[in-house]
Amino acid sequence: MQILFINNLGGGFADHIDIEPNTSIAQLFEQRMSQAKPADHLIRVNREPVQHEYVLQPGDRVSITPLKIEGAR
Amino acid sequence: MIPRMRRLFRIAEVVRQQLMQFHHNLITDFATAPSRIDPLFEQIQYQRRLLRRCVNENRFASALIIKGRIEKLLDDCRTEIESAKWTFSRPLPLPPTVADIVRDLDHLRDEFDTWEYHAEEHALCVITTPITLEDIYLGRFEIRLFLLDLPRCRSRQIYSVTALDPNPAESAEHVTHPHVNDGALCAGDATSAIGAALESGRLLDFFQIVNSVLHTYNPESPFVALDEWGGRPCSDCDDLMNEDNRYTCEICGHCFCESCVSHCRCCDCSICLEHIRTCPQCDESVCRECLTACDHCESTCCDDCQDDGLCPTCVESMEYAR
Repeated sequence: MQILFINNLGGGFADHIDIEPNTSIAQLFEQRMSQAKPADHLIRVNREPVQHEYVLQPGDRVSITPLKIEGAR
Repeated sequence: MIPRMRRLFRIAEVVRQQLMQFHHNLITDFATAPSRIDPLFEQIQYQRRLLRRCVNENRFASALIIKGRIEKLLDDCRTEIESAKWTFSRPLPLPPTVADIVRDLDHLRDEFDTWEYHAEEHALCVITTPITLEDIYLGRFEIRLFLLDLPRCRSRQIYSVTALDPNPAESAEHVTHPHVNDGALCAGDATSAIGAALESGRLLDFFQIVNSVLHTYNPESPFVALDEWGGRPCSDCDDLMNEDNRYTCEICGHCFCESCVSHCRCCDCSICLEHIRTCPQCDESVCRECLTACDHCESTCCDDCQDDGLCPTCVESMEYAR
């Protein structure tokens, strides 16, 4: 099934991706952001916070934004 | 439709129109990008004809010069082809639907306590929570996105960041945040993600990313470091100094406050108390550059005391001898 996945880390990836049915948001985070901690990110499904066990539905819009991003001068 | 939703739809229409213009500009770029290659090909053809003629006429020195020209043209051609390829290979983000933009606007109030739309300048503003970094209170910031500038989002910063409870750096009043100077955020690691969010009309993501940058301190690259926010400490007494009462010693290069620095009576340069010298003739403070040896007795005194390279004692004894 397909969802819209937006990763606001780095280049700002945003595209439709295929995932296995019954994938939870926690599993998706682990698959896509293996080195990162969920607590350091703003995770939204359809623009709203969800529980980590939330099972993704076809067409869901998932966005992940780091809470800390370094600026410069 | 309730008035609030009607208002959101009106704002979303503005965003959508501007993003359509942005996409129109991108497609225009696609059309013009390869056009710079054509004249290069024509020049290569021309140089090849010249080269053939030189070879037929056994003019090998000229042929070598033309060979160099063709080589340069091929290099230029490769650069232009790569540039055109890069332009073509960049994904063309589809403009979001009005409904998508409305959803983003509707959820802004979930993420930020305050958001406003200033219709007169078509600016969308959100206000952050109070920000404290490394125990320094910087207050709330307003992030203002100018919607009519969306078509130019690739070429310049189309948003401003304004401190609402400003606590600027002591040494630079326009620096209200380690990464904000004169209302402009240097987004650092977030630059690409901000650009991608704006190009796709993901307004909620845009504000969240900027908010994350404002809540982060990068000590490697600030406009003013937070450990110098209240001013730099004097290298001698440790008192904090701002730009107006900070002096750099010409000898050691360290910074000193007004009380821990002296000035050369001859050249007026700033010298710290460790490196300042005293002229034995006038007892005034001078720098070592202005303390020179007498041509006759080699004793040192300041330039102001010397007369034609002689110290006052030698001048006096010579006058007496006359």
